[in-house]
Amino acid sequence: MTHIKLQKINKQFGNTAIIQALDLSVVNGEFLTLVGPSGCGKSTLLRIIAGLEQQTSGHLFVEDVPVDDKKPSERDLAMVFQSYALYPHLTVFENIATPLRMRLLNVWQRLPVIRRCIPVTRQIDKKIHAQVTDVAETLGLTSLLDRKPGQLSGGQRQRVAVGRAIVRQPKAFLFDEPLSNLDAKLRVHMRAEITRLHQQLKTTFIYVTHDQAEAMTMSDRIAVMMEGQIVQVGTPEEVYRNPLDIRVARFIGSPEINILSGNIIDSDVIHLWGISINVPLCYSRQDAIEKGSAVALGLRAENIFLTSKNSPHCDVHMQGKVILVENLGAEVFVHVSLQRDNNAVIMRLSHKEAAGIGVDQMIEVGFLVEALFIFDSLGKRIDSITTQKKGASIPSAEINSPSINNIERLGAAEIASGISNV
Amino acid sequence: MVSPAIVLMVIILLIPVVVALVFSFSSYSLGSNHIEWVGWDNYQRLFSRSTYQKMFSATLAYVAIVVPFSVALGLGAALLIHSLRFAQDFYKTIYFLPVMASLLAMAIVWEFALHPTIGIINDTLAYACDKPWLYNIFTGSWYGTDPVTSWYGNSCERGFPLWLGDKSYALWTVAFISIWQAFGFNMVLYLAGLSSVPRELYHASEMDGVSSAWSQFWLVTWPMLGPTTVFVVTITMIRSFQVFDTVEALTQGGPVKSTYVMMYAIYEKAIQQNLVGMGSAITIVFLIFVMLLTLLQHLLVERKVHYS
Amino acid sequence: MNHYSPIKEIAKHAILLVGALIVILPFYVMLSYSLKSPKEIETNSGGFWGAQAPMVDEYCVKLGKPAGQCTTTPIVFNYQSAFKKAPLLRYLMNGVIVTFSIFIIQVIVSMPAAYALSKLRWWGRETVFNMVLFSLLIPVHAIALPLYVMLSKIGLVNTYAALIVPWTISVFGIFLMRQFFKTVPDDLIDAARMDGMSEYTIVWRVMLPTAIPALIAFAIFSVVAHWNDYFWPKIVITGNQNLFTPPLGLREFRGGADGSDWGPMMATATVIVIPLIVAFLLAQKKFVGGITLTGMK
Repeated sequence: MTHIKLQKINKQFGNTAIIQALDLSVVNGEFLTLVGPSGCGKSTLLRIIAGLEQQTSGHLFVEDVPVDDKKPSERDLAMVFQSYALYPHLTVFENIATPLRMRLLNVWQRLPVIRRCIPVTRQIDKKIHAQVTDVAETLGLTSLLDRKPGQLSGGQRQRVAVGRAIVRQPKAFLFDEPLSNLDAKLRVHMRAEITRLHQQLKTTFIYVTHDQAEAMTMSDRIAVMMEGQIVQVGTPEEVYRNPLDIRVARFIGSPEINILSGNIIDSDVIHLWGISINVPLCYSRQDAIEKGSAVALGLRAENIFLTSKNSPHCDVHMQGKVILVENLGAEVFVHVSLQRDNNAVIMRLSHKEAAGIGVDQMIEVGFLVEALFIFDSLGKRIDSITTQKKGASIPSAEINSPSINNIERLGAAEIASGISNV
Repeated sequence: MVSPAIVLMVIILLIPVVVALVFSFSSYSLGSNHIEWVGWDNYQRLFSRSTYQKMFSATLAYVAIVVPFSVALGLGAALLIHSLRFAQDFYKTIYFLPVMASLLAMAIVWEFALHPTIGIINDTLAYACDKPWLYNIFTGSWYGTDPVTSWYGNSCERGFPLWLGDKSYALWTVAFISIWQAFGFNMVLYLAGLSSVPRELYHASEMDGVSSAWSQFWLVTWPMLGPTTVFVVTITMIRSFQVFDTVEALTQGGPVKSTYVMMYAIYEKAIQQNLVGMGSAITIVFLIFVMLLTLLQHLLVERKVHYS
Repeated sequence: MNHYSPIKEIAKHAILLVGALIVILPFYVMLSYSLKSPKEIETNSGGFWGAQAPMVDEYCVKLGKPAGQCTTTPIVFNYQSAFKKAPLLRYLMNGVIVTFSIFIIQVIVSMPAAYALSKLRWWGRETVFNMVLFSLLIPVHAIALPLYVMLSKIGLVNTYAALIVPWTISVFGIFLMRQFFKTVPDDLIDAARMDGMSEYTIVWRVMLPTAIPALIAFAIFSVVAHWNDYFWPKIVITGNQNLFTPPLGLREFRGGADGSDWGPMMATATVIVIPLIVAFLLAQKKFVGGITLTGMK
């Protein structure tokens, strides 16, 4: 069931188009993250959903009701800001109570002296008091209720901001990069807190961040946004294992995916450094796959193996020189310069596998063809290899070939000749 | 490094205070060769003679008029200009012009404009006296009152007020001139304060359900302008205590001492009448006023207003 | 809020325009009447520029010159009288000398002090700073009387020194510069010391260039305040007309004014007020920025 729907949203500032013809459907109760590099328009989009900015064209629906003309407070959404935006002159209690006071009390009932003359005010005040203390307890803020934001730590302020949002019992929560202002350790802690909160409240969360790790760990679904457009929507698993655009492949996953350059030889064959690789290509445009045109091959760091030590059988082998070893404790990132490419590839090895590897050492590495992502010159995915995991679906129209796992293994002879040609 | 500054501070600022204190207990006159000590006489006179009572009431009334109006007008102008879509600089410039102009010169110009017979103001006010439909509006006779009893009607008959010559108007007129000159400065300070309010607070208040500009002002703008307001009020207050130019040039403390402010009293007593002792006493009382006010606002208000 | 309402905009502009008219009124009066003949002034006619019809200078006739020679246009009459009846040029020059000297000495005194208070550590620093704060509470105009008495005892009344010296210590300037200096990174100063600069050299070669915005703000405050200052010169210049600053000159004019003198008086006021107004119009951003800077302290 669609809870919030965006239809062909456009946003222009002067002559620059920030957001172009954007469609998005948010499912009720899900945790959806809008992720993308700085400047891609995700914060603007969030503000449009909230009503703080008006879209240039396009429609916005909340529970199938158009809300384009409604003011932010009428849309029944709550927002947690990057800077928390707490009222510095009010206590924690008063900060959290503000949305309730605005809604339940009219102008006269809010004035300092006159309010006592109006009898109903007392009751409403009690109600507000009960609700605020409830929320404060949920968030562990009870001992801080009398303090002002200036006296709180970053994490505490964030919880107050969340509290102010919760107390309104909105239809959905909007989070605008709430963790960017926290230090690394606190960030990891708060990630878990927010996820737990979502499980507890079971309300729709729309979360904006530029940190792909946050997106991956917290969301039910991720919407990757680049240059004002949503490039891919899917579960974290889908987006990671089946990126439909090279920009998505590069953005999601740490360390960044390795990109190698090759050429199309035939409708099923790609050349990488003289080695022929048979890969089923899938295309919707004939001219997308032209003989000789360049392609980019994406290969994740964990899918490159050391072939000199009891490694799984790989389709392609090559030699390389180690140029950097980054020891993270439990795992090791090894940067290897492969002879045919100027870029280094990064390998992710376990602590045991990397034992004994040093800089300037020559090693042999390999990978399986099925681990490759192949992107054409425009960045679109053109192979139909997917690792079929549970629940992974292929949503895009680009990949329409049914032939999956139709890979021809290269024979030993070809491998040998390939290496000697390198 | 600091010694020139320290020396000058002591000589020019600190020693004179002591000097004034000493002289306030005397009846010294400049040019005489000896000092006669009169104890608390000068102060006694200050707090008993009616001239000085008028001095206190004129000064305090003046400050009580000028400060709220200058601050409120400065704030109002800043709020209006800040929310405009265009022509902000135009208005800012115009409203700031009086601050740059010599108060003495402009006071004299105002005097001319307010002149009972050849002044442009009374001229313009009298314009509607013989135009029946305007006359009716201004006198209120369109809803039934007798035109001659209204202020406007009365003035048409007997002549418009002597703005500077009538004791019920003089202080207000002097105050008006000062407000005219000062509020542009406050406006600029408030404009700076307004642009430093974090925008996200306004966003948060919109999400929280703030519906009118009025509520938004009370919830976000006014509290965030706290420090600016304290600064503006203090500066305006200190400056308004020091009013002199307008009074000396236009009213000389009159009519009937209705504009007999403290700085002018010091000038009249000490310089014109060469009663240095008396002048020193007024000086000391003046200094105490100013210092007390500044310290009070610092202790009471300033802390409440800085939130971090 | 993004909801733009044209009616509200128009209402805002209407209110601001009415306010602008009131604010501009005296400037209009001053300029316009400095261009008018006595008759036009009396009858409040002639539009803004005045009819500029030839008029007869009565005073000149009184002096015995033939009427033909005494006919001029109002604008010429007003401005010429302004400069002739009293040595206005001299007054203007005094204004420039006094304002300029005051500012220069203020800078020379306050910059090293501000530097010492903000960047150096020395015994007594807190005490001196408290002294500065305390002195902020003493408006110089308030102690004008004892200063005057002290000056007259040393015989310095009626001199340039009397006009300049009391203002050389600008506690406001020290405070402003100190706040600004505090934002200069210590590393910059340490680097200069390693390069061999003495502390004084550091003040003039390192701190001064970085403090230009604050200096400009300070200059604006100082020049405007002292060019327009009336109270102190009035007290301290008791006999020597040659030392009159522009406001004093205008007041003198006003003192002896009769009916035909309104025109020249407005002309004198215009001449006094115009320099700062023009400077302001040319450099608005600096002026407004300067005040904003001090407000943010």
